Amino acid sequence: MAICRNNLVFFGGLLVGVLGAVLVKLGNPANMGLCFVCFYRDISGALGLHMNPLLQYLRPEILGIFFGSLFAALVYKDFSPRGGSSPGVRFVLGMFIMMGGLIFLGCPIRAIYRLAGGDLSAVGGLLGIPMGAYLGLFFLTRGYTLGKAKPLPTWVSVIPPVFFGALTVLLFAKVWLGTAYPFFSLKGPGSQHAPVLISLGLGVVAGVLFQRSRLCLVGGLRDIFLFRDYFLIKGFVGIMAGALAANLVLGQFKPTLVGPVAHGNILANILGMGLLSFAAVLLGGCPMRQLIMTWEANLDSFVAVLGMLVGAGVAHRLGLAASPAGVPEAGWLGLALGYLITFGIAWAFTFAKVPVKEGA
Amino acid sequence: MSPRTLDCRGLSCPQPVLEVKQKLEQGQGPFVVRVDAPVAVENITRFLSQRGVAYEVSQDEEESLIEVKISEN
Repeated sequence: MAICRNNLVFFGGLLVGVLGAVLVKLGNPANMGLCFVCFYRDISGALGLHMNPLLQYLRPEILGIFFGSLFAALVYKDFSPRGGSSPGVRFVLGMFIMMGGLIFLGCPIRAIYRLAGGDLSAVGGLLGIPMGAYLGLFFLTRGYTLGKAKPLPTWVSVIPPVFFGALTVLLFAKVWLGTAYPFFSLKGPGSQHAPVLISLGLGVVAGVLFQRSRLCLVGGLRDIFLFRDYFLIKGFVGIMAGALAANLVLGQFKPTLVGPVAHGNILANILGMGLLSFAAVLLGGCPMRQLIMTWEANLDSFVAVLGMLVGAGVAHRLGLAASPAGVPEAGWLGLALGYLITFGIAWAFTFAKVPVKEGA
Repeated sequence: MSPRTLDCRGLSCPQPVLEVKQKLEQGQGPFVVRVDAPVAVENITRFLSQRGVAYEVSQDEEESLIEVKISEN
């Protein structure tokens, strides 16, 4: 049993790595087999929260991951409706996760995919992750908390499935009936995707793997910093190994300084991913983990996911997001504002909070 | 609730394991941790195993109790 669990996180990672490479082979944008930042951004565009014509698609992987991890959570009874731990603050942190992610152009998982595809500019992002995690942990070890979540009535747990179920209906309305809404890109990264049913199916597999393996990069770093424990980080070694091997086999490993759908500004890459992981630690999980916890009926995580969708919309509406052309001036401003407010939240909920009474 | 009990229900990851670490390092003897998330149980038990601290987990529908027996080696 112990050996099984120990290996689950590694082999789960390995499979996720292979899966990402396969999705690229089948049509997803380069080094973007799975990317939570990119996919939330595309969904945000598909829903019309931003109107960048290159970045609009209702990524079925995200919906598949929903069904997969919901199923796993139900089967293994990891399912209990909870919420009420400062959802408003979580919404804002979700927005700044996207601000950081859209400066780097990817989530921590895509940072690994990018490196495994030969894109050396991903190193900046991978350096930013421990930096941001360290910032978050600085406050966490000094008492940062958003308060306790409380059990919620069972009916509340229906809300996230209804939301993502509705997205699934929209997806198939578009694909099968050719409706005008949601908006799908005709060119650019939004138009590049694997066949819908394959994306959905592989998403389900990924969802089960994520839910069961507890993969969490930020958590892996946290355990190293705080406890010198290397258990969770094995999952990400697995993703790297799986994606690298699969990319080599599929002929997708192309060493280059700056890969596709990426830019080479190393400072922006470090600071962008730094903001993402800083905010992620304050939320208690990276963009992927927030989604998985949503399926476990954690309504606070659902609110964080909504914050990320809206954050992506705002970033693209206001022209704050980076692109392969680099980081726009407004992007630096957005990044600065992101750090300012995230530091503000971290400080307020560490040092300026109302003392919590002992016991319950 | 007795001071021997650490209530970590409803806390976001990784606060439960941080609180256990803090409590353990205060060195005030055995205590019981109440948690309601499976991930928190896994994080805490992994941490305790790594520190070589004996523990016992009991579960019901709603929550888990982790009894931490201080016998650090």
